Amino acid sequence: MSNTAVGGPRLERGVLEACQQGDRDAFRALYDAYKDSVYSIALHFSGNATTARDITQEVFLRLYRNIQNFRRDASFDTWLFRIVSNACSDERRARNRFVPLGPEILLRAPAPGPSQEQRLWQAERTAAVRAAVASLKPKWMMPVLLRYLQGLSYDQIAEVMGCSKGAVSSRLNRAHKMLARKLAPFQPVGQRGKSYL
Amino acid sequence: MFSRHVSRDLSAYAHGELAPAESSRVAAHLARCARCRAEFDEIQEGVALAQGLSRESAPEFLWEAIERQIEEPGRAPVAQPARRKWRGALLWMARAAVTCALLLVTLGVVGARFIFNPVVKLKMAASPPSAFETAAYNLHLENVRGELTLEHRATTPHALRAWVRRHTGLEADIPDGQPLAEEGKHFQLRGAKVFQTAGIQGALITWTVDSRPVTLVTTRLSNVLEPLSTRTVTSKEFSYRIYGGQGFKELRWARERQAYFMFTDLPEFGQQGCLFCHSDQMRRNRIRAMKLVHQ
Repeated sequence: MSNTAVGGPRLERGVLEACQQGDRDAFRALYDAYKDSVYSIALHFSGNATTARDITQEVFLRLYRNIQNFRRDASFDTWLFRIVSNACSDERRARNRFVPLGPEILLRAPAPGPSQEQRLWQAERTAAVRAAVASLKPKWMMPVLLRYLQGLSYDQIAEVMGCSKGAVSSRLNRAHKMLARKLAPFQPVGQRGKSYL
Repeated sequence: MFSRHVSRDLSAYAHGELAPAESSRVAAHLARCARCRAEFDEIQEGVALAQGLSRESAPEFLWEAIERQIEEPGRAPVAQPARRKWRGALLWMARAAVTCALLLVTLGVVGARFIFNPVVKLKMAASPPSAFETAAYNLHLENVRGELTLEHRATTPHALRAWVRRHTGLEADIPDGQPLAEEGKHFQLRGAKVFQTAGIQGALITWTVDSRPVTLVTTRLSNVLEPLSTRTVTSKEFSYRIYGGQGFKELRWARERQAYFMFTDLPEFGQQGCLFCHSDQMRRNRIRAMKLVHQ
């Protein structure tokens, strides 16, 4: 088993080595293991499904072209997510535009069971959280995505982003506070007095 | 002896990322420092919200696109910026002419459709509420609790409109004449107030529908950060929010350079509250017959 993040994708032994020897089937297995992780980050970062697809393709193309450079004593996850982080940043610079506030992120159909009103509220809350995250500055947003979508530790996030663990903590502090302030109406009434509008 | 504040470590503490000794130090500090405790509460709220992020599945066709790129390395990468293509002037003019012709035909067809089959487009608000909108919602909660202080007690719709105009320069979209009591629903106009939040002035008008409070807030459209659609040729566009904890709904729309936010607990999306503003019988019938297109 490769050195992947706790709770993250699992690769069969030897897949990485086979990829580095040009085995296309092994690369397909690698793609299948990580495609949702990469796409999720790209989608939340860009707020746009089309752009997320572009970023995802670019990530795996870079992975394919550079996998021989991966040292197997390092963490593959942090190496991969550094590629993802760089690809997201590159895309943002290339397009040089504001991130749309979520209108193009497609929602999954809510699960049956709760009332229509509860489902609508949940869908609204989910969309609002995504939009609020997408509106964060990239250096605050990426630690949020790496932590909550991939379960990376602060040390791993620091390695991906090329900063200190303390910087990761500070950035997450800022991001958590921004989310709490932007999304105050979505918190239970009893806690609303604790928001800082 | 004073100990330094622990703001920098609060997210790490919430995530269990601190070493045991550091975690104990932060816990001890939080027990005696109200400022850091308040900050920690806010961070925990942000953590809870961020935990709502969910993974999405990559589209199935992505692998084929990647494989094509791998097999044909000479092809331009997908993520390159779009290249601008120049078109001949004649070709551009021909396409413009066709487009204009099609637009004229479409306006004719759609205009006819609007008369016979009006559509109200309803979509979920795309961005989190602004500070102004949040303040408006909190005023509605005060209204529901009976704690809202009105500055103008309604006598007639005409007097209320004049009061709002005089104090804010805004138009209150309230019709003249007594609202009609139909289908057992009784409308009662209550009054208005002016409020200011985050440097933005708004007018609040409230009425009841079968004793259930409806709160309408309006401000200049230019004050609203997220664009609200104005009435189009074919349909009026609303966006909405649902506040599930309280069962309240909010409808949002724009008209003549003003943005409107209506809060209520009336059924569905709260559109029955709109009937108060439309005392013309034909328009009220049309509202009831309107097709809500949920986007």
